[in-house]
Amino acid sequence: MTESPTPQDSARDLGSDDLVRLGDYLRRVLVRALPGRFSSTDLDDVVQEALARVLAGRSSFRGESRFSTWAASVAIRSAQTELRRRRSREDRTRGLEALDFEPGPAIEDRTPEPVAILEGEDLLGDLREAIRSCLSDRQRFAIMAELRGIPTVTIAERLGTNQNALYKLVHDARKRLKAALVAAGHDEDSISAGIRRNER
Amino acid sequence: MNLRNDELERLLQLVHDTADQEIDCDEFHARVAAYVEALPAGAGDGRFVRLRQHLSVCPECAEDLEALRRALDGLGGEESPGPR
Repeated sequence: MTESPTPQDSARDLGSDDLVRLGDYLRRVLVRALPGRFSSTDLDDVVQEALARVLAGRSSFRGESRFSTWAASVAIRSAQTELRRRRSREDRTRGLEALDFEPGPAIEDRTPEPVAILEGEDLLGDLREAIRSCLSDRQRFAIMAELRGIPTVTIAERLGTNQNALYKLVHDARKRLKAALVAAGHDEDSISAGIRRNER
Repeated sequence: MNLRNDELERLLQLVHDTADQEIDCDEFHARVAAYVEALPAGAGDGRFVRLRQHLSVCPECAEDLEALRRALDGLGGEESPGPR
């Protein structure tokens, strides 16, 4: 009895006409997803890169969605990464690089314990102190860079790492800050209240 | 390092929304297609709790999701070659 092809099998069986139609589809996706962000020449290059990524990644298609939707998501991520890299290059060219300090050599990176001596009265003041005392140099750098809108692809390159490792670094930093605020007596409700007060 | 008060406030929101276990951006993008297809039905069946939490702490993935929604809305159900 012939087994039904898996989504991965089917994705591998794209003929040359299918590839042309897939490329055309991805172009329509990117024009609608990111209107006006690419010149027509740039768009050709971006579509080719997106198509390559879809084809290279098709063994990872899990069949949880339509293939079209999955391919569109891969193409958009590819194009957005290119746009973010370009934005970083342009910012450096215009001298608008927002980062005003370097993370320091990784070999000397110290990771203090998450418990900080905070006063527990001023939420933002305690957060500022927790940043100073609970995070490593690399974590402070990554947090600041993300808050200032530096694309994660750029931050990761600056730190000599990849975006997944960067995510783990920042996640650990956020957990440390949360633990420090809780240790200072700021529970989730009081943090929520503090956010609402600052929004007014 | 000097963060402005508005930057600290944004960080405070991110800290508030931080979960002990989070998915990273690769895992988010592996699942975002299924999530966006489930959105018309509310996507509230528990499959996407961690994905929604990731959106609250990752502005870039949130941008990518909105771009995907724009594209699919504009294409009106058009499909590409590939498995159905």
